[in-house]
Amino acid sequence: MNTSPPFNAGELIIALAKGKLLAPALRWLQAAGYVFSDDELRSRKLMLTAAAGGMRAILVKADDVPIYVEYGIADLGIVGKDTLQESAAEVFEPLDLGFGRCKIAVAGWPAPTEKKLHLRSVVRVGTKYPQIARAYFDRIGVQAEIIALQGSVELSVLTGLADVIVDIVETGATLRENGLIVYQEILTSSARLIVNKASHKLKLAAIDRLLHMVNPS
Amino acid sequence: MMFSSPENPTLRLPPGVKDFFFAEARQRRDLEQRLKDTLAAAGFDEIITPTLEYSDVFLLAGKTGNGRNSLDEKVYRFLDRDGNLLALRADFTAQIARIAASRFAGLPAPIRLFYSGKVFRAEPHHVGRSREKWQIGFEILGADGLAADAEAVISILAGLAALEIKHVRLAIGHIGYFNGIMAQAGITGETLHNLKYLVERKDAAGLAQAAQEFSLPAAVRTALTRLPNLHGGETILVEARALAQNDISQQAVARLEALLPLIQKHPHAGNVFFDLSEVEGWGYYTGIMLRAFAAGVGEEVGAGGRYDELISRFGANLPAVGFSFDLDLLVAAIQKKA
Repeated sequence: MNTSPPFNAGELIIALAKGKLLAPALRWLQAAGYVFSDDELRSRKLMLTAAAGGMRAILVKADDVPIYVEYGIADLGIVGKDTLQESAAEVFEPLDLGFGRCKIAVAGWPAPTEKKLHLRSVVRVGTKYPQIARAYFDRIGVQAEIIALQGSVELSVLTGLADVIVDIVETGATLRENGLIVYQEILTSSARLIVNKASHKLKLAAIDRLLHMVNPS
Repeated sequence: MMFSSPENPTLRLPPGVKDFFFAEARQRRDLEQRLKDTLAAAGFDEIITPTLEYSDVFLLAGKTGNGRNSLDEKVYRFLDRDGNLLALRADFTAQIARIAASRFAGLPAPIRLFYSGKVFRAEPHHVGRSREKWQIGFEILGADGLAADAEAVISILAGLAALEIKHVRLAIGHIGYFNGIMAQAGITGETLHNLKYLVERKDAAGLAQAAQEFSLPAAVRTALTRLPNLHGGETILVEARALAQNDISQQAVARLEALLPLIQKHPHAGNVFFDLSEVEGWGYYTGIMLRAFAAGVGEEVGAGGRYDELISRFGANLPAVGFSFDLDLLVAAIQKKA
């Protein structure tokens, strides 16, 4: 049963990623005047309503945020640039929120392996970001065999499944512990506010108010 | 059981195409008729174009100055038995440009045409985007003036009104505004392509970063980072004038300023606003950019604009403006309303 609310130009629907982006995203919304009560957050509801109205939030997996926004089920979303780029979703991204910073990098064994990679006919790449990895190796003209993995990406190099990995690097501790090094950073990521293309026109006033509240220009 | 199909691999459909039957087919024919009647009543005449063309038509139509051809990238091509490279119709306007150049010389201008039919585009199907789209559109050929721009806007509003879609918006931009900023800064080729993509996504952070990376002058950087926010009513045009002090951008703004009085008395003019960051479209647009949106549909339900130099690529000098509605997305908007 479709329970989507009727169109209301004054009410914004925002998709938020469950996980580590949720707390800073809620703080950012609070600064903009949209407060979700502790009772709402502690409940197991997947659709929350802001205390003073004007916004509803849906809580989804990070990878699903761009999908809900691209289809227009949510007008807005807060999602990492890495996830956004991987999704290739056609949405507007008017604001860099600055939190959730991380880097995506190519990493692997130190020399001599590193020195020999450019002479390979094909480089095998273990990654959770197949689109970003594919685009990077296409840009530099290297034939890459992308091996899409769900987790523990470093293991793919340690076991010989892949020659290199493309993955998030925060402190680099995991890489160091396993004897791997960063070859090249390929993307700096932070949380973005994304906006559905039609919502941007149909709820222009409410969206502009939100953007200007936090980013007066 | 919900589906009673027998299991048989030949029952499958390629991604991005659909069967319509019974009520869904009737609804499409009904909306098609309403749009055709509205356009016919406004003085447009029907044109029926072939489904197959030589591939060159779309290659020529989609050409840009920056080496990219987003239309040609989407064309379905194949060889016929004589070894000619053929294409499925990917764009009506490209075909109409070919026809206008070869057949319409000497006809009294403006020539008002409408069409209804399918275009075929190799879209990525990760979000279920259609590869076969039913478009209903119109073109006004041989008129470069404001009156034709206004007539296009009013025809779109009339079409949306005939379909009784309640929450709609028509965004009007002008590609000259962005082009002027690029020309002023001497930006071409791949850099221009990348900046345009960032403007299309209203990616202010990305634009600021790119401005730094390419060491763009401060004035250009300010204009580019502000561009994603240049949307709204008349006041936006004032800011737009101040931000881009080059002739091409100023002329673009002047054109929009002059358009306003011609459309603002229309009963649905409240649905229209300006958006100078509307720069997305095939490579042939030269003037106003038009994009329609409806509540409940995540992408534009129609798009078009002015293309004064397209037909001259085919050999006849006919300025023109046009627009096409996406019938399936209009149906989606109506179903959301119900």
